[in-house]
Amino acid sequence: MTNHIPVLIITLPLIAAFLQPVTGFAGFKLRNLVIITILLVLNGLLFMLVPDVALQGKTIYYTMGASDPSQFTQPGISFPVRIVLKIDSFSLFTGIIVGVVTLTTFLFSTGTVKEDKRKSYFSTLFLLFTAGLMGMSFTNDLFNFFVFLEISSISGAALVAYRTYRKHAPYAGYKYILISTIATTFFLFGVGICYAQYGSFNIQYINSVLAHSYLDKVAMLFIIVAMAMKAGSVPMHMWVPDTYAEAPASISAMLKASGMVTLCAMFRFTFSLFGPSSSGAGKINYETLGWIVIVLGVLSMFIGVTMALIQHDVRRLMAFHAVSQTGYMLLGVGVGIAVFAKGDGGAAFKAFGKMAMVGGIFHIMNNAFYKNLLFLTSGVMERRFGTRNLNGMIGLGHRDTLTTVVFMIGALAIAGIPPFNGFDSKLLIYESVYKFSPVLAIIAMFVSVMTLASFMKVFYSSFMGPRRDDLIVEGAPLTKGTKAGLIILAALIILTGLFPGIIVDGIIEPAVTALTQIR
Amino acid sequence: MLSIFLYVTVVSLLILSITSVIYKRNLIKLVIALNIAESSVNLFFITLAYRPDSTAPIFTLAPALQELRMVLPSPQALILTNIVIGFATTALMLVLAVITYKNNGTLDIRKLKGVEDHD
Amino acid sequence: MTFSVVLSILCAVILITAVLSILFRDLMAAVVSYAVFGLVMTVIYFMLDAPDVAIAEASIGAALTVCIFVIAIRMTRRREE
Repeated sequence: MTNHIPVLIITLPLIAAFLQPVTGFAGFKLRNLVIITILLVLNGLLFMLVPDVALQGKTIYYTMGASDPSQFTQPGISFPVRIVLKIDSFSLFTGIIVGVVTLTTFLFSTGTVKEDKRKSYFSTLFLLFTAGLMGMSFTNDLFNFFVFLEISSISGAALVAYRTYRKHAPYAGYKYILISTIATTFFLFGVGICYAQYGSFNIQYINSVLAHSYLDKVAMLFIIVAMAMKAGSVPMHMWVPDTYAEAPASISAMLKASGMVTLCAMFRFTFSLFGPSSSGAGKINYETLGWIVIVLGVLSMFIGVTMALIQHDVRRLMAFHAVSQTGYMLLGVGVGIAVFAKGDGGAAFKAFGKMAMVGGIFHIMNNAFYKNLLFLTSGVMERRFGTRNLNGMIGLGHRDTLTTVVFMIGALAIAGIPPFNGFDSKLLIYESVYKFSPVLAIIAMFVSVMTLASFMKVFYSSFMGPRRDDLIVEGAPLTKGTKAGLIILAALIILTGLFPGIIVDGIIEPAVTALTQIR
Repeated sequence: MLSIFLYVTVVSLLILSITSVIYKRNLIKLVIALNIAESSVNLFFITLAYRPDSTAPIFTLAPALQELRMVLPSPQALILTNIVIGFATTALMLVLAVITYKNNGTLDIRKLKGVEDHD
Repeated sequence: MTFSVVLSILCAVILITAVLSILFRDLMAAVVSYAVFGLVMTVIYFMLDAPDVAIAEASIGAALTVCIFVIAIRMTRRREE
């Protein structure tokens, strides 16, 4: 039983998704209970793997359909022939983000997403989205990754356009699937180039025989561009605000998680697929690649935050902040990549490069939590006032104390104020980036200040001010599930902020080690 | 020699479809362009699998076991998956385009730009 | 020899139909051109020893896709603005 955990994590939501039409007949309460149980079991399975994988540094393989699934290669064959799932610390870290975000988002959406009686489109698509993201985190096979990418983008587009009665929601869904299809086509093209040379789709096998030829660089370009497009980094960021603004609030949070998973996959491809191979043949130029990532990151930070300052639509404002926060992760990991293979025998990497990567990866987790929280509170605001325009909102603090407190926690966390988790990862990034190049650290701090300014604007205009009950469209109190989702996320933010050492030592540091180790 | 034609076709189809995604403004035309891109990737994989003077990867067609010479079967199996996925994507995109038309009365991307000024 | 000649002619036909299906302002004409594209693609798959892919492409890529395109165009408007 225990050695089947990797495949259970992917198949549980998949089976549950196709059970939805059946459980939908039993009524909403029972159906929601079943889904919440399944998501809790999913999180339990993920945390069961933490002692083995993260603390002891083991790598778990799962070969689909083999007699002994825990073996990487089958007896008599020297290379992997089947679909292999691989759980190392880094993919476990990605999986934990998906698990926590999915659970809290679904808790929130039980109270906010209305469905007609006995229809379960939303929950089916939601669970399919979860299955796609889990598969993307754990698979070790390029074509399998493509299939999960398509599952997540098709169900994601359908969810973005879920409220088809709204005027612009279907067009937002169209934009999302358009950009996803272009990205997956590019990705498949890159995979084809890899397959043409090495005759395998297995990431680890390709890495072990990689020749670093010119064609490999072309394949790498295709794959990295596809991943950056889906993650919403700067040159391809224009779909982000339109899509995030029109989707239901819980789906904006899920799209953010999807962006984080794609970003993690991009880092995994940079190191595990196209990294230095065990055969010792040539290397990619890490310094150039690192600088490309750093420039993309700084541009993302700056353009995202400046565009956010002038927005009046609360969801578009948060979406531009999502672009800006992606920049921090790219900056942190980019510094790590740039000094990864420098000529000084790894001294610079040990001195500050690894810390920069820890900061960047830690920021992915923190950002997933507080951005999720902010998107969910924006959903509450949108429900209360019936509009997303900040000019039409005032004095929500008099009515919704919980939402106010939770929004403040999220806003202070995203701005990097000490007791919350955004501060820890941002401090790691500032310190290490300062040693690499002081100018970049100063830009990062400046962007942080602008973030605080922009969220103070939101807080001042929508929560402060006189109580105006005539503007409230829907005054029903929040349901228990909605409150639970918000409280869990706020508690996670505070706990991570107060005890960052446990998380960094337990999950983040092993993840970075697994990512950068040279096989 | 033979495969050069095919690779040139693949690359020109990809360039054609990406340029038309950038320049075309009709939502349904964009779906056609994306379908062409998918077909080009499919053709790329099938061309990879092709070996001259060999048979289709069906066991009964193999002339004799000792001189078994087949094209690669696995890319063909993967392309079957990709064709079906492409159909799903096309169907979803067309549905969204039709609902967009019903809500806004146009399929032109330039006229749909009003989305940004939505309150 | 005939094999390569036929294949190169088919490649040319594919390129021409793809360009036409992008250029036609009448969407129905573009879809018909796309159907020809799919059919010629089917023949190429068959010549490249992939009969199962050819069957799938003929049924899904050429027939079903064109069907839903025609339905979608009938529900919206036919001319590109």
